[in-house]
Amino acid sequence: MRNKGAAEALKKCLKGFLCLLFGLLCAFLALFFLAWANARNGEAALRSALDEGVKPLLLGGGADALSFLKAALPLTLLSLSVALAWQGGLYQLGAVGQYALGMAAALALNGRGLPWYAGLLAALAMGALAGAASGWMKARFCVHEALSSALLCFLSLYAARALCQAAPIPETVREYPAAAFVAGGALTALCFVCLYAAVWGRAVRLMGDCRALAAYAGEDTGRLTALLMSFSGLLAGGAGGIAVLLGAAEEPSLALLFSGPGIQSLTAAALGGGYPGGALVFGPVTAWLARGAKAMDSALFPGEIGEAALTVGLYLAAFFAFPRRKGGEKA
Amino acid sequence: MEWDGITGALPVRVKQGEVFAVLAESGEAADRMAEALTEKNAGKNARFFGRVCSSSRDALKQGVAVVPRAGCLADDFSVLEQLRLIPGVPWTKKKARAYTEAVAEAYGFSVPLSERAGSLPGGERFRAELLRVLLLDVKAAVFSSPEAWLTPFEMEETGAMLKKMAREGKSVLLITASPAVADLAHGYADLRGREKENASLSPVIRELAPGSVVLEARDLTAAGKGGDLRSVSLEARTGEITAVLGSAGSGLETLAGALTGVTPLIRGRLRLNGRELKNAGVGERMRAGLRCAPGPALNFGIPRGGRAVYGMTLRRMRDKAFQESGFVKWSAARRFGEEAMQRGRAKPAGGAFAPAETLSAYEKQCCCLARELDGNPEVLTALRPTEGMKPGEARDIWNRLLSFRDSRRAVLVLTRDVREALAVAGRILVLCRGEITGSFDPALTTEKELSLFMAGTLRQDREEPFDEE
Repeated sequence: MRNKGAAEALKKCLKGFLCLLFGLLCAFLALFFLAWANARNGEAALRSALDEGVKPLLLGGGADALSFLKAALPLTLLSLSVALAWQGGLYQLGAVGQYALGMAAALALNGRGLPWYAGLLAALAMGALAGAASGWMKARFCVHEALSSALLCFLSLYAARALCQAAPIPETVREYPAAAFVAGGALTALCFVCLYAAVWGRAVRLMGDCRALAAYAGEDTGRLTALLMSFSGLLAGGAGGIAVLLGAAEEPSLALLFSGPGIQSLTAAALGGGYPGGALVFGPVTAWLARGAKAMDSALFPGEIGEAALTVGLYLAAFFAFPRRKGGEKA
Repeated sequence: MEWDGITGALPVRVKQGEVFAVLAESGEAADRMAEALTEKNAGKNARFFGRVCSSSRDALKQGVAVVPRAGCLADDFSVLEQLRLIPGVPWTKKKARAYTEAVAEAYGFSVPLSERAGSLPGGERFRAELLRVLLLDVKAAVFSSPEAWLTPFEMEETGAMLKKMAREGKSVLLITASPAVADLAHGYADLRGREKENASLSPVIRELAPGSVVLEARDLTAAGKGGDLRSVSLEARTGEITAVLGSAGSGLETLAGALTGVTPLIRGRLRLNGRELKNAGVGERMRAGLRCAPGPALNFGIPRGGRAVYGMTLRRMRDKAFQESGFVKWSAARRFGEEAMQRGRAKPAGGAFAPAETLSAYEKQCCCLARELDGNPEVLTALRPTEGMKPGEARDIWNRLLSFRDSRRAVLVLTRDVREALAVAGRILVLCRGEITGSFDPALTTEKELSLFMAGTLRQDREEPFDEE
């Protein structure tokens, strides 16, 4: 359930770690069999799988703390946007599209004589607009947000590519790491304050518990839905803008969707039990493992092994994170 | 079937070819027992044909169909569409219809197969569930709280069908809180304990002449999951409890939604003390004095994820007293909640800060009533107020409603329980398939007559003279 206390949130996080452990076990088995194909015997295969595969995977690529944080922050914000929407009972499948749109908007304004926050504001606005579109369709026409956000995700990726082609990515992207971390922290704090201290957040959590309950309490569930998706999109777009401030300069493509932030953000949100606090824990964990996967010996093991491990964890965690209540009512 | 432990010191043995009932303290207790039968941990003391079953699916493999209170058929599909999926039923529509009709006819009943399961009134829905059990060709069936579906009149017919199943060698277990359902069985285990003494449902009406009309609803038309409303007109008077009696799917929940503002009205007029409220939102109606207390069975009177005390400000979240610049004033909400619970005599066993999920049906309803009656509204709509409660608890809730009525306020009780309507109302309206089909003085009508109206067999505009025989 979405709105129980800290004890329940902790239980969900523990379940998330178990799911992740199982995913890593599957990854280890895959590494072992791949190594066995090239090794003399089982012992050599085991040693190879451990030394060249599991060790770098678990060590996160051995990168320094700053570069790890640069990778973790945008992913954490992205998974936070998914978890935030889930608190209101909504499926935010368009987060990576909003991220791409935000990134493209930030890149378009980066290093063109504008202050550092111009790109970030543009990213926030683009992400919020994309999220609002999905929320509006749900509120006005009862189109399920999973469908509309997934569709808009592809459209957002296309729009982001078009934007990058119209305003080509500068050769050197200007970095503002300190500003990025402050902005990331501010957005995270804003999310928690709105959700747990504001009347709006209380209404959102009511809606997530039971839509009829929120209507009975006098809340306009249509408006809440639109605002929530918009806020979620703002976080996702902001994640893209912050990625640019941290030096990421990547032309948006479908690869973002099917690997990288696309799957990883959903994984982190699901492993965290659908709670924003859980997303804060599993966002960095997921980023750590993703970096570790890239650091494996690519001659022996493809980097997709790490992605596969996270995906297995995602599917398992989804069963724990998105349960049905007894009596048939959807959580 | 053998069942030890869950039911305390009393073991239950259901033989082949027998209809047996377990009479629980309350509807809530009956539901818990039915769930426990096939739950992994709690179900270890229940054995079907010598085997413990860890789920309903497992039980079905053993030849036992478990039908919970909510039923097994999905609301959004027609009965025939769902029955065709049962192994043994012909796949083509024509053949499936003929086959299922033949099975139903053999037991002396019929079911409208083309209608959506969710739109069937209570008795027909139960017969559809029964037909599903017959088509599954199981050796035993467990029905939980059949009184949720059946009027007292329909119970007799149902008892005859169940006994016919028993004569064919099947076993039937009824888990119920209704003595009337228990009477249908060959034998029953009475688990009510000390509540038995308070089980009398004698009327508690104290004489009070109704006053002026305070709430006027004309031609209310709305669509809802609980059944559509079709031009429903009613009035609520000061100093009177008006009961609207309807079975499952009759539109009770939609009527409550339409009065509260949760369900938008397609057509109709709603006036409170002369003030038009048709287009008013939930908050505006609440402030005008039109309040609604959903019963515990509906699970949205008190938010599940929070504490009971904060549930008291559920419908006042945006009041200036409980928020400042958009932020919740938790201390003010807590203080108000504690005071409101004190004033409304809502005292959960776990205290004001008990998690809402740990509250019993009675405690939830006390909290809900304390919240809705706070500020002395003009009209209170109580939707299924005592469902799932023990008789003593139900009586206490009725007394609270009567006290509110005695302060010259109007009460609308929307209920499925005929006895509750007879016990507490000064006037009874029957709602069947979204229409008001009859208006009665409780002193001049009987359970049987009301049941016939609830089932749709009789209507006051085309009524044949009612003969008790």
